[in-house]
Amino acid sequence: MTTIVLAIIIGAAFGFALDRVGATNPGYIISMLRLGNLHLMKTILLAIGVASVVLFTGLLSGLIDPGHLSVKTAYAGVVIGGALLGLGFAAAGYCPGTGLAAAATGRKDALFFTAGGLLGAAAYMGSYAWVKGTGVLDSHCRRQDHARPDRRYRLSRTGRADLRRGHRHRARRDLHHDRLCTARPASP
Amino acid sequence: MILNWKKGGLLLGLVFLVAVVLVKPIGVSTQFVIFDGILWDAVNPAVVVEAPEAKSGYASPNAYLNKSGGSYARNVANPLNYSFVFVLAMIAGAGISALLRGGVGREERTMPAIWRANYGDTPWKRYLSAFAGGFIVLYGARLAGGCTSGHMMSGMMQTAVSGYLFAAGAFAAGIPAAMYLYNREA
Repeated sequence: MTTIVLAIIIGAAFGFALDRVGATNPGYIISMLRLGNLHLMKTILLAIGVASVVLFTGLLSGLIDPGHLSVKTAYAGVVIGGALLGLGFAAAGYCPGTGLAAAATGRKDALFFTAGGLLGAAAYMGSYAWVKGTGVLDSHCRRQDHARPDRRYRLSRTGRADLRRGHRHRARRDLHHDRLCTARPASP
Repeated sequence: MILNWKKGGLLLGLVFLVAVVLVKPIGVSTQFVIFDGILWDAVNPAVVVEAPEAKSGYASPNAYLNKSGGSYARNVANPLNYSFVFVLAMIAGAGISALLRGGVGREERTMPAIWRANYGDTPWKRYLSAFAGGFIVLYGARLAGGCTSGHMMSGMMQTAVSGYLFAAGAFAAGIPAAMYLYNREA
């Protein structure tokens, strides 16, 4: 019950804020993407920055419970999906949240955006098994062979071993794996 | 009429922060799937079924609804959950805000001025582009596992690698596309 009340309060505040910053106006979104009027870009970056600084200050001082954090995994589909979203974002001037919010403000084109979105989500549901089969959803970090100590490649100090074909490349890949997959913020 | 970027950024940042501190990071695009699932289940009740052996207690013949122990299937069966109610409240909140500021102008309701400047006044052209845009936005968001709210805002504020990758992909495609599609200023 408490969570439903919180959903109503935070959700309403989010919708209200989206409308007040101008994010429900596709004109502002398109202007931001064509690097004309950067009002929304500044708003979004300030929001991310402020929230991030306060969040990590709170986490470090122990005032904020890290239990509610949730970090999504990184996989190739994140970039491909992001690029697809970017194309539609540019054409329509809406993203999923602002499209729904804009429809509520009386914008009729946002209703068409929402209808298209429901169909797009349904298409993804239908093609999920195929997408999964292509491997783009596999997390980089789940490829365990990068992490297995006996199968690791290291950059040698003298550089002599690096001369072996492919060794340097594999060593870099393993370093990259470490950087991406260890020492990340705790996720539940 | 709209908040300047300093006030607006603080307000928006505060909402994202409160959500992550009290409940969980804000996200929207999953609820398009949940709503699709509700409609689909209404037409065909076999789409979501109770399954005591599944982690969530629900299962679906659809691989996507059935993933992660059927957690989407459970939300389809019980729409009164945090994330779905959150999105309904977001819609209401935006509607209230628009009412209080006097609503959106008649011309603007059909299409934004920048569309009119580039493609003229025909409503169906704009509706068609918004529909097609919606299709690829949601397909892309589901492929990425989140949208502007979940990946870009919530992800980047938690310094998630995925959030930065998503933003890079979205802007790398979105900026040239917008420049190409909208030559003329509003």
